[in-house]
Order: sequence, then structure tokens, then C-alpha cells
Amino acid sequence: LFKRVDDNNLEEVEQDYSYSVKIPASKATLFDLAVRYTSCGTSFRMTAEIIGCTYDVLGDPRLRHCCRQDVSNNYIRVIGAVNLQRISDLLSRSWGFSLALDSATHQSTSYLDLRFRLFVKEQETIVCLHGCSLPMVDRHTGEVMFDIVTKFLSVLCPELKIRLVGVASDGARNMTGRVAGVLVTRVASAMHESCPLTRIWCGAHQLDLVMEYIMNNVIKERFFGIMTAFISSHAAIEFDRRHEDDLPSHC
Amino acid sequence: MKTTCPRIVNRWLSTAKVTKWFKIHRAQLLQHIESKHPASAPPRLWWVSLMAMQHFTHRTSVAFCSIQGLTTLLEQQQAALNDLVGFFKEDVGVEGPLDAEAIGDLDLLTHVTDGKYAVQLSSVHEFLCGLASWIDTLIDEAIDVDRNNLFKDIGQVYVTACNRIDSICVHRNHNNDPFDDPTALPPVLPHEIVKLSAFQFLQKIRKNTFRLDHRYSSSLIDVIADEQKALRHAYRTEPVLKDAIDQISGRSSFKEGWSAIAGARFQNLIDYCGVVATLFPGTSTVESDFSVLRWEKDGFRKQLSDIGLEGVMQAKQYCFIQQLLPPERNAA
Repeated sequence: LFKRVDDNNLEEVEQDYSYSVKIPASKATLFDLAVRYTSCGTSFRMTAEIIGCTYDVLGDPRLRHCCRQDVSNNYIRVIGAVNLQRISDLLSRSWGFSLALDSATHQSTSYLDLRFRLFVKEQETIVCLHGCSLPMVDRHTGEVMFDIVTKFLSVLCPELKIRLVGVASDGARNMTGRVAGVLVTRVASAMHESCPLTRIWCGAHQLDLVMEYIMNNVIKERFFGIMTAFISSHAAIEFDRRHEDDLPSHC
Repeated sequence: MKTTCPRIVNRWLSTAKVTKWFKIHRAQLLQHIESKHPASAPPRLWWVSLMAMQHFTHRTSVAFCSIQGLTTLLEQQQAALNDLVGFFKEDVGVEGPLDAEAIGDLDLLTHVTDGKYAVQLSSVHEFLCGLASWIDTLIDEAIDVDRNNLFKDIGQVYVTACNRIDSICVHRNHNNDPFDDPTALPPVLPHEIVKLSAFQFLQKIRKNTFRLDHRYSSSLIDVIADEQKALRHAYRTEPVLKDAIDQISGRSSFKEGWSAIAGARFQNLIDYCGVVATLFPGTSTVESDFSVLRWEKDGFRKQLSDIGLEGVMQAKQYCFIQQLLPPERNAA
């Protein structure tokens, strides 16, 4: 489906290689559809199945022969690579960019998410792009996270030490924040000495902290205590009723 | 009642929904309380607190949502927070920021204070009576102690909010403390740039000299400074441009701010400001990625592999990224 074209000029160089991917015109519709289905959240297998169903209904010959391996190996992995290449190109064209990072644990796996904000000169616009959600299988110390981040970023932008303008994190809200805080400190110390880093502590998280303080310390008992007691007493009644419904012998 | 109270969780944002529900269904709830006499029925004066908290959480949640955007500028976030404090000052009558001496002179029997902000209990009374037509009757019926406690509680909520929101500073130093100089970040919109003298502007952009020299040439920083001087001159001599710049405020986005200044004469200045403006005001965009992650890999799809998950995320922005590079680079 995709034809890998080796760049002859770079053949002799061991590591620095490039390749281009050409989509045959006959597969363009299939590719577009696979990307759109996947963007809606379907898995690779589901995407292939749905395209198969679409072909069954519409009978469009352009949608024939789509298998799971095509979707995973030839479409989605490729668009991941193309996206990262584009981001890398955009980063190298600009004199600076910013980064936001945070980690979260979901279903026992921790993810470190990175987002870039950069300025596209031609369009005179700021864009915010998803970099990657990096799963962390190792320990979650600041040092390990720093290694993961720098490994990823140094591939995307080899001149990271000079280009990175600012980093935003969620500060010291919880353990995750503290780890991210350590991470920001490590990134800042890795910068070029003439390129200081601007650190940002998320404004929304700070506003959140203010509100939490007010709710927990200023007006908790005389307002929230009464409200939650009133709601929970009625929730209990509702629960009892449902319980009775489940047990018809009580009726 | 044929209506269900929204779920209250430990997030304060859910309070905004719950208080709104209580406000809308107040008449039905009172009817229910009168007929059933539940032991947990709230006291009459509690309904006044409810109305105030509905006002408070509604205003804050609107501001909270407004600062979360893909391209929100630091200035826009600061303007939204300033507006929030402004609303509280205007609606409730909170005064501030006051110096320590002025705060010390206030009578604590008639005022509630927190840090640099204070509010008179009589102002809180007036604010509460304005929230609904039935509130003044409830307040008049209450005994003095309860009434005073109510005013103090509500007053304390607003002054604490004003004081703490006013001291929010996103720019941090190496210890994660607020940055010493709150004006250290260079301005990124034309209406602020024209206020700076050539010397002040150079002072601010000097921090990035090495970066610019590395990417372009050593003379670019002077070209940018020259363009700032040209912008200042144009602001003084071109009425149309002056009018356009005067329309810009801290609430304007980067695109809105610079769209009025057409042409190539400020190209390098725009490029410089554009990169500085990329600074994230928060991590809400990253949090939105986690929302996508939790939505896609829910309890029914625990086996979704990391590459599948990342594939979904990259597929979502594929078309957008395709549009960003100029046509000659699009042949990947």
C-alpha cells in the first residue's frame, strides 16, 4: 500500500535516514476514512470492520480490502510518524516554543502528557498541538520522568536547550504536581545558560485551590453541611424505595 | 417533583450545578419540606446563603471556563481573573486592595476583612436583598445573631476570594514562588507594546537575544527593536492604526490583537511576540488530553493498547496539522 522511497543521498549515513510515504490514489479514500474512524475512537480492528461494513452497504470499490494490519501498520502508525515529523518541522522553523506537561494515572498506568504551543509564522497564528501521552512503566521519580521527556523532546527538537521558552505545570497541588515540579526544575537546569526558562504554574489550578480553600474553611459547616445532609437524607429514601422495588415480597 | 438533584462530588464546580438546581426548584422543595417535615430540612436563613453561593459559584465557574482555551494568552487569563475580582467588588461592595493601615483602621464589628480586602456588613445585607424578592423578609424575620453570622459568612467568602484571586501569580521562580517582578514578561499585544519606550522594550527582549541570534542573525534583535519604534511612530501619526490599537484590550486574543496591523512592516515584531505568546497560562489543554484518554480507554476497553490510544489522539489532530505547513512541504 505504502511505498517506502529511500533517499539515495542519505543511504550511506548509518542513522540519519529519511523516507517518504506515498499513498496510491486508489487507497486515498480508504486512508482518509480510516483516519476519521480512528479519530472517533475506534480501535484498529473496529476501524477495519467498519470500513468492511461501509463497503458492504455502499459497494464502493475504493473501500475494498481493508484489514486490521493495514490500519495499524500502514495508516495509524504512519500518521503518528507524519504528525511528529510535522511538529518537528514546525519547531525547527520557529525560534522558540512552549511546553505544558502533566501526568495522570489511569487504570494503573501513569501517563505523562506533553503539549506544544508554537507560533506559525506564515499564518500568524498560535497553535496548540498534542505531542504524546507517554506511558510510564518505570518508577515515577522526577529523574525517570526527566529522562523520558528529554529522550522524546531531543528527537523532536535537537536544539531543545535553546528553543524551549517556557514550561507550564500544575505546580504543587498534589504528589503528581510535586513530581512535575521536580521535572520542571530538571528541565530548567538542562537549558542553555543564556536561555532562561519561564516557568508557569497553571492559573486554573491556582483558582481551583482558592475555591477549595473557601469551600472547606470558610463556609463548610453552615452551608455545605446542611446542604449535603438534606441531599443525602433524600438519597437514602430513594435508595430504600429502589430496594423495596427489587424485593416484591415487601409490597 | 420529577426532577433529580445533580450529583454533588468533592469538586467545587459541582456546587455551581447543585445550587442552581436548588434555586430553580426552591418553591417545590419548600412545598415538599412543609408537607413531609424531614429532619434534615435546612433552616430558613440557609436559603439566603444558597442564593449567595449560587451567585458566587456561577461567577467563578464562568471565569474558570473562560481561562481554558487552546490559545488563551497569559494576559487574557489575568484579565479574566481581574474581571472576576471586579465583579465581586461591584456586586457585593468589596473594597480593596487596601494598605495595612487602612485595614487596621476598620471596625471589625461592621466589616469583614481578609488580607488587603474588606467589605462592610451593610453592603453584604444590600447585596443579599438584591438577589431575590423574598430574601429581605427572611432576613428581617431572623434573630440578630443568625443575621450577623450570615452576613459575616457571606462577606468572608467574597473577601477571601478577592484577596486570594488577586494574589494569583502564574509566573514562578526556581523555588516555585511568585516571580519577583510581575512585569518581567514582555508584552505580546500592540496596545501594550506602544506604551513601552525603545529602551524599556529592548530591556524586555534582551532575555531572548541568544535564542534569536542562534535561529536568525545577530542583527535581528535590532530589527525587532526598530519595528517597535516604527509601531510607536505609526501609533502617533496614523489615526486609523491608532484607533485599531486602542480597540485592543487584555481580553483580545493574539489574532484579534494583531489583525488590525496589516502588512509586512512589522513581520519580525509579530514573529517575536508570537513566540513569547506561546507561553501556556495553564495546563488545561493537557487535562483535556487526559479527558480524551479516560473517555477512550474506559472500563469496557481496558485492553486498548497504548499505541491504539495514541493513534486515536494523533488521528484527531492529523487533518489540522496537515493544514499548518505551506504547500511545498505538504508532500510527505
